[in-house]
Amino acid sequence: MNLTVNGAAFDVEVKASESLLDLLRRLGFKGVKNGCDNGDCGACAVLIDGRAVTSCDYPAPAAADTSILTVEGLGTEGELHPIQAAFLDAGGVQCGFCTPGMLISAYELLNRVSEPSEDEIREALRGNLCRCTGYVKPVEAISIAAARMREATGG
Amino acid sequence: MITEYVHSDSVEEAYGLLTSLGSRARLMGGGTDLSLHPPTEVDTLIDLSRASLGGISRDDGAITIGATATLTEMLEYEPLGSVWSGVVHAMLRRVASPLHRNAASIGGHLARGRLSDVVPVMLAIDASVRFYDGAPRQMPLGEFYATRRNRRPLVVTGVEIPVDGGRAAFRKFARTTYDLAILNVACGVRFEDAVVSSARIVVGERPSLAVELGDASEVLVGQPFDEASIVRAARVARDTVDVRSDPRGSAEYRRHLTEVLVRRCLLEVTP
Repeated sequence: MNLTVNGAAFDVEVKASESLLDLLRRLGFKGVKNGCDNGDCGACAVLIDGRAVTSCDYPAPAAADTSILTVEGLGTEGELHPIQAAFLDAGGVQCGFCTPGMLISAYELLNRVSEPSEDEIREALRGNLCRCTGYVKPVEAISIAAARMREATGG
Repeated sequence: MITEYVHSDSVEEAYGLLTSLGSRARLMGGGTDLSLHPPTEVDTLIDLSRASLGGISRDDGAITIGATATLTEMLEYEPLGSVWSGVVHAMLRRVASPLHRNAASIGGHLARGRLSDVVPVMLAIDASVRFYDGAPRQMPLGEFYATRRNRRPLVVTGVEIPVDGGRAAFRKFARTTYDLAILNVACGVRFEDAVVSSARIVVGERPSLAVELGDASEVLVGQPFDEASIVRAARVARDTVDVRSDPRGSAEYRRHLTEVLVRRCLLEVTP
């Protein structure tokens, strides 16, 4: 089947029982983390055609002909995405395992809402479990990222 | 073990596959449950995402939601937030997380029935299910489950919600906001003047499929909607609900929760 990951086209064989998580990691996108493999923790979140979903409970064949964005596609070589930079600046990363999923959830939120309230940020992170940070720093980071992105676009 | 994955291009084709493969095949909506926990006898998943079953629309009498519409699409559809006191949106905001709501479909919820906050609300607000079993059909969702029609081979194609509804509310109790409910309750009440003209009190996650508690609902009908009748209905709900124990909670605890949640739900419905 065909799919696009971070702008690059792939033509791959998939098993009927394979998850999108396993497929993406097999293709080398190791930023997609396997936290629970049970749809609970959100570490495996990716965007499929602009919507953030958990990839462990998403069948790989269902992703045929879709466009996927993983954490590797957020920034460019040598330049972090504003959300990634804000996570570093605000101390939103501790062990880092949940971070790719959080970045994806935050990315979808900021695509829809340029000036999210704390409640909206927390709601967007509802499916991303983090055992280190207590969520305070990641929430601050997303707020900082939103402000920087508004500034950058003159909004 | 899933060995075959088929994209079906139409409802008719999906139904044909389903009837020829029997219990080996399952229809798939968003896949959030089925892809993780396929029944052992199932080796074929039939993906409905290309069967033109999406979309949400409104006409004079009803809001119609296609089976493959996601819970997020329902949340983004504003007219759904203004019927039946906005209960559908209030409930959806408490279902899992955006990561799941972006994939999970309404059709998957209705076809599975259990493990759902969506189903009790749909039952309480008089929703009808649309399905295909060789011909397109529609019936009240309550009848669909009560007659075990949902167990027969069919393709759920959508759901229809009447817009001339009354007031409704939803309550759930779970260990965490993110967990499956130990018990959930939805109430839909219509009024004529200050008197209740119809009422549905629905209890789900008993842990069996959600059901309307007819005796408790009847307590309200024809009466003014006051605290005394609400308390009475909640007691009847407690005394008549059929509950079981499972790892999430004991039968006794669920019986207690039934009274509390029915009372709170009805108090919220008060005009």
